This record gives sequence, structure tokens and C-alpha cells, in this order.
Amino acid sequence: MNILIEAHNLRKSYGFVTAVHDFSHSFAPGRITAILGPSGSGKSTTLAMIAGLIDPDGGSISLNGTDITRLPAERRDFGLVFQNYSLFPHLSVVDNVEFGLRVRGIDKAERRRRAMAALEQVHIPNLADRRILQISGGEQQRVALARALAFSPRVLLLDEPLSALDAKLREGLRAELGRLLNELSLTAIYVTHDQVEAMSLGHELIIMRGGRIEQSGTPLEVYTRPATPFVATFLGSANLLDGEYLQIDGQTRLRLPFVEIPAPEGATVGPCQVMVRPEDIAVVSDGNGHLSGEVISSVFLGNQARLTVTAGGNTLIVDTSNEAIPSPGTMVSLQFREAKLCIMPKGV
Amino acid sequence: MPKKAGFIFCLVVTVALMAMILLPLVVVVLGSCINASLLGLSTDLWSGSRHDIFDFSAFGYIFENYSDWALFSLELAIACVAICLLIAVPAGYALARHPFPGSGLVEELVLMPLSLPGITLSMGLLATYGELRGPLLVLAGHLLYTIPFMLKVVTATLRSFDVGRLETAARSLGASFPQRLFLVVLPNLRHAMMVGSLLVFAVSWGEFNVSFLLNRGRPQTFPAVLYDTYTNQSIQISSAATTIFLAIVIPAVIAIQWFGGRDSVEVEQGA
Amino acid sequence: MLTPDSHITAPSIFSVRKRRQLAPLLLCVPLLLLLLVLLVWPLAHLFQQSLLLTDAPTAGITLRNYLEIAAVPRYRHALLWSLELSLAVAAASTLICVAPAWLFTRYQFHGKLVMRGILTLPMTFAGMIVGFLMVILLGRTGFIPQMFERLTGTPFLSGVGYQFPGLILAYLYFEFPRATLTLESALNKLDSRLEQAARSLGANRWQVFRLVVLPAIWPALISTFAVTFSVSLGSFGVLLVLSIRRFTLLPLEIFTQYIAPPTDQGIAAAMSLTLLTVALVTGYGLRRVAQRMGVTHA
Repeated sequence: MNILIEAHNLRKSYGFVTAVHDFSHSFAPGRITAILGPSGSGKSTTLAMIAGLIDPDGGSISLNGTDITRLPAERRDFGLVFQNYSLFPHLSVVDNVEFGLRVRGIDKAERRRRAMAALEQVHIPNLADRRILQISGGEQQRVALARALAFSPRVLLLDEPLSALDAKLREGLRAELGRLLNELSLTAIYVTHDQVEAMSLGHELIIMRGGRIEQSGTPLEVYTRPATPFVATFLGSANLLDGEYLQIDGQTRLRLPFVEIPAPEGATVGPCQVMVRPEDIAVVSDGNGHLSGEVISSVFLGNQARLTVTAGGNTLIVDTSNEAIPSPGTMVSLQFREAKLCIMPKGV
Repeated sequence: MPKKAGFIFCLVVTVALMAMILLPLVVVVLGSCINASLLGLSTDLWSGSRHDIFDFSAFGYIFENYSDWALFSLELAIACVAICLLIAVPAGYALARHPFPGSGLVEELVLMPLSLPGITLSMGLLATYGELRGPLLVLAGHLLYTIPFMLKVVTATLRSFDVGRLETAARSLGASFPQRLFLVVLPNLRHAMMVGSLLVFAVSWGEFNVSFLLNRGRPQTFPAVLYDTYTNQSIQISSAATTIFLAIVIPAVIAIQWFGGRDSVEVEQGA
Repeated sequence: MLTPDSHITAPSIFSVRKRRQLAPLLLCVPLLLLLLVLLVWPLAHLFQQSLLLTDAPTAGITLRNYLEIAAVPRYRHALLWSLELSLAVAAASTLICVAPAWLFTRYQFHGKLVMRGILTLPMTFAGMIVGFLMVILLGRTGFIPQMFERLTGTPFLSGVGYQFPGLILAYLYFEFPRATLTLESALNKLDSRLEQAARSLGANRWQVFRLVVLPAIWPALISTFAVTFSVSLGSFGVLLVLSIRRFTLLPLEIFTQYIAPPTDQGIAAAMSLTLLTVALVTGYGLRRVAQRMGVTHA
């Protein structure tokens, strides 16, 4: 399905608080776009505007080029999966799933057939006649999904669908959800505050903060090349260091507090910030590293160990293998993978 | 103070109150049909001249003379239920789900008759619509007292239930407003409407003060039967009338308790 | 979280929004009409009537009717006695009913539903029914005096029903359920975890009640008082049946004014509105006090 959704300069305020400032994006057709951000970032409000449940104060939304901003929610044919599912307690599972078909006037036999097909897709056809209150949280989530898919929506919008579930269940359902969405090739917009969900499910990622888009791109792009310190620290862990570009002997070099390396192409003289991920700092044998420091704490995380090291006046987080973990107090030698250093403008 | 003592204290007080409430009722029911002298009571005021143990003649008297009054009360009560459902349910929905500026005031206004002296409301109605004195005006008075109950129950349910979420889901699935109303909102209001109807019925049935003033001629409402017998008849006949009244009101109250459960609506009624 | 667009809308260029605001208002129209016709307009009319002299309607607006209430002893006493009675009954029922309200909300036991049902029964009784019940129990040939007579030879409490104790008992009879239910709903809203915390800190049940619960339910006590006060104020059915000599209440005066011609409509209207004002003012005044104390409850 190649439905193209575009948002242009969407804006929404509540009294003195601006929830969304100027949101513009072209959502990749047939792909899953994850909108990730902390609470209050405006991501749910944006989704609600796209769904038509909230009227934007400004801006527009278009579907395959047609302006749908004034189209009421009930006529947009978008499937919505809510955080708390909002299943109808007075209806059985299959009646819930049929609802979208029923209000479109589809006849009974056809409704039942398509509802059962949707329930098959989410692997719970056996629950068809149960009451909503009798099934578990995970099963309710599947019903919510089936209900949104049953009427073959043009677009699927999901608002933190997994956040009401416990961790283990979330993990399992996440994988299934990803499989299902990819099979259907629906244009989907997935709002979440969980970075693992966002990175694993999204083909494209939008990071929101304070009502604005901080960065958008593929998960790999955003992870390895964060545009701002906020994105760097929100997605995964990051070490942020102050640096400066200097001209030395006719060459532009990057001076970090403790090491000096050749500057990348196109660098201009001036202060900057450098991000390096914990996994891109290696503990090496003495003397071979860029600098040495003292281990303050070491935490065993199962598949790896995380060290906090003070070096050259900075506190760094370093991930290392789970064998021969240096204990607190030891001096270690650290080496930075220069290719992975990410430089950002200062003061963002 | 040990835990038990608090419980026992409250229990004793409550049981004492219960006894105080039950005692007259029991005496009334007994007095309506049991030969008074068996209860050790002087017979003059208490009963007619029969000598059997059980004597239901009083009930016969009531049925003969006042059955049209009972019917009138019943018709009024049913009319109240119907009108309340038609008027208060949509209004309750609007006030709870789509408040507009001034909706708080409207709700307060609707609930006001419950805390205003009934006689003032009656005088107001009489002063303005005096020529309409009779069944129509009585219905008007009843409505003033019954609509608040239906409204309260409906808005309480709509608010506690967060029907808004379900409506949003229904919208996302393509339901238009009428579809949402009939397929989502009303089915979830069934319980509230039932409890509300029971309340309206009980309130209308038991209403006396306002009905008495606003009516003209016969038939009067059923509680007026009681008043009539209290002032004119023997205690046995009055007891019989009261017993009949209780026989209708008590099941209604029980039903309200049963269905309303923990959140039974606070009932404020003028006496 | 997605929120329904029920209330916040900025000034917009979309007419569909205006229509959405209008629709709920339309649903309320029948109700509003009814209110206007049955409540607002009659009260306004009554007010107008109270400002005119019945026997001289063209004489213009005057406050004489209201002044007469204070001037004529019968009316003055009616007002004062109404106030005193209502205050006493409200205070008594509010205090006494804390016990059953506490019992029903804090303890579980068999028969609770039945007990609650019995306690709430009198709420559907009109005042005159309660008057009758008092006569049956405590009238001159009432059940209780006759029982006493059989047991001890003297009919104790005979005729009490027709005196003040009977009157008070009657009013309490139909106020108990109301007070209990109002207090119950307030007690239910209290977070019982606060009490648990107090107990974990070593307070016994009485201390918990005195130091944690009581301060929290003060507003509820005040509202209950206000409610029982206004209801008692307006009630005259009891006195219709009991008719105590040389005693009268304001609503009864209004009633007799109306029943016994010639009716002085002006005075009746003035008395009615006075009653209403007292009820409204105490009701809202006390509710304000309760609100300012912090906890508000429906």
C-alpha cells in the first residue's frame, strides 16, 4: 500500500503551553515511522492531529496530495491502536473487531468473515466469543490491533500500544508486531517513549522534544550521527566532551581535553561538542591508548560490563567485555575509535 | 482502644437506629391486619369491631375507595420515568462529555430543587400556573424532583466510566455521532438508566407535599390516601394504607440498593 | 495520551468546530426549557408577588410583606422555631450518623446490605407518614405507652408523640438516612492508606479517628449539616399530622395561608422566599466553608 501522509507545519497550543511547534514530515509510504520522545514532547498530540481527533491550530495534513485537515476522524479510514486499548466492554471480542465494519454498513456474514480473518492474523481466533474483561492484557492488545486492521485501514497509527504491558510480554509482542506490520506493508506511525521499540520497529525514526523534531532519519543514522546532545543521550548512552577546532601548522585539528587528532573534512575553527558511545571506547593494554584513567565503578550487566572512568578531568562511561573486568581503583588505558566520534555544534 | 471496641460501638449505635426505624413499621404492618387486642392494645382507636385474629377488612376498604388514586400515582410515576429518560439522558450526556461555558451552572440549577423547600417551589408554580392546578401541575412538580436524580446518575456514570475513551475509539473506527451514541454510549448507560428509573419511580411515588398542594379534586396521589386516612379513619385503616405504601416502596428501594451497589446516589428529598 | 477534543478549541477557521460546540447545547435544550418554565419563571413570579400587597395590588412595590413576617408574632415565631428545630436536628443527625457511616465504609460483615437498606428506607417517606408513625408509637394510645402499661401499670410516654420529643424524633427519623448516605460517600472518598500509615506509626484506632479521619471529614460533616438543615427547614408534613398546640413552623404557616381562604398571596410569597433564601444561603455558605477547608466532595 503506498499511501503517502504528509504533515505540514502542524501546530497546537493549550492556553499558554505549546504542545507542538511546526511539525513537518513526509512519512515514508508502506513503512513504519517511529516517533520517539520523552513525555511532554508532543508526540501523542501530533499523532492525535494526524488521526483527526484533535484539530490543529495551524498547518495541514495531506494524504496522497489531498488536504485532509478538515476531514473528521471518523471519515479518514485510519486505524488507531490506543495505549489502553479502549475496547468496548459491552461487546465480545469478535463484536469489538467487527465494529469498524459494522459502522460502514458491511453485512453480517461478510463482517464476521473479515473479523475472524483479522483475529487469525493476531493469532487469537479462539477468543472470538469471550468478553473483554475475561482476557489478559496481552490478548486485549491483540484484539485492539485486530479491530484496527479489520476494516483494512489506509494507515495504521499506534499510540504507545505496548506500554501498558509488563516487560517480558512487551518484548514478545514487540517482535510479533514488527513481523505483522512488515507483512502488511502498511504505512504506519508508531509513537513510543521506549527507544528499543522505536529502533527495532521503525524503518524511520523521528526524535521529538518540547514539541519539535530534533532529528529524523533511519535508526542507524540517528544513533551513529546524532544531531544534538539531546538525541545523543536520549537514544542509548553517550559521553559528551567539549572540544575545539584549531589551526595548527596549516592543518585543522580537533583538540579534545586530552587528545588531539586530525579534524574531519570541512571543519571550521571554533568550539564544538564531541560524542562518543561507550561501546566505541576500548580498554587496551597499557600505553597504547589515547589516555589513561582510574576506574570509579564497574557494573556487571550480563553480556558486558559498564565502567565509569575518570580521565583527564572527564567522567566517561565505557563498555567492555564481561571477562577480566577491571575493579574500582585500577588504572586503565582507553582508546577512542576515531571514526565513531560524532561532532555536534556547541550549545544545543 | 482495641479494634473491636470501635466496631462494637458503631454497631450498637447503628443497630439502635435500625430498631428505631423498624419498630414503627412493624407495628404498622401488624396493626393493619392483626386483631389489636391480641397485641395488648385498647381496641377503640385501633381497630373495627372484628374479633378474628387476622382481619384484612381494612385492606378491602382501601382497595374499594382508593384504587383510582393508586392508579393515578402509578401513571404519574411512569410518566416521570419516561420523561426523565427522554430529557435527562441526552442532557446528561451533553453536560458530562461536552461541557460548554455555563454547563456547570445548568447542572447546579437542575439539582437545586433538591435543596430548596418544596413549599416554595409549589407556591411558585401555583402563583404562575394556578389555573392549571391539577394532574398536569402535579406532574410538573414531580419532574422538578425527579429529573435531578436521573441526571445525577447518568452524569456520574459517564464521568466515572470514561466513556470518552470509548467514543474516541469508536470515532477512529469510523462511527458517526448517531452510531457512537447508539452502539457505544447508550449500551454502557443501561445500568445507570435502570437505577435512575427506579429512583425516579420511587421518588415520584412517595412524593406528597408538592403533589398535595398542586392538585385539585380527586383523584389525588397515593400518599394523599395516607393523609386522608390519618385524619379521618381508624388506626387500622391508616395502617393498612401505610402497609400498602410500604409494599410498593420497599421493593423499589431494595432494587436500587441491589443494583446501585456502593455508589448509590445520595437522595435528598423534602419531607 | 490521545485526548478527546471535547473542550479545548482555539479560535479557528473550521466551521465544523462551531457545529460541534452547538450540538451539546441542543441536547440540553429540552432540559433548559423545562427549567425555565418550571423553576426560574415561577420563582421570579413569586418574587414579584411578594413585593405587592394582596389587598392593594396597584399600590406599587413594597417590602411590607417581608416586614410583617418580623412584626406578626405568629410568623416571627414560626421562622425562629423553624430555624431552631432545623439546627438541632441537623446537628444531632450529623453527629449520630457518623457511627453507621463509619461502620458501613470501614468494616465488612454479614447483613451489611440489609442494615444499610433498612437505614435508608425512611428517605422515601413523606413527612406526614413519619408523623403518623410517631402517633402510632407514642401517641395517647400509642404502642409503646400501652406496652408500658401492660408491663408496669403506668402508660409511660403516653402522648409524647404529640409533643416536642415526638417532633424531634420524627424529624430525626427521616434525616438519619440522608445524613448516613452523605457521610458514607465522603468517608468512601478518604484514602484508607492514610489510616494505614497512621496505624503503622503506632496510632490506635481512636487516635487514627481523632487525628487523621476527623480533620479530613470536617468538610463532609459541614456539608451534611447543611443538607439536613435545608431539608428540615422546608418540611412541614410531620406537623400536619402531629399538630402540636401553640407551636408552628414557617412552612406550615405558608401552607395554612394557602389552604384557608382568603389567601394573602403577598405574605405567603414573602414567607416562601424567606424560607428559600435561608436554605440557599446556609447551603451555599456552608459549602463554601467546607470547600475552603480543602477537601471537596460531590
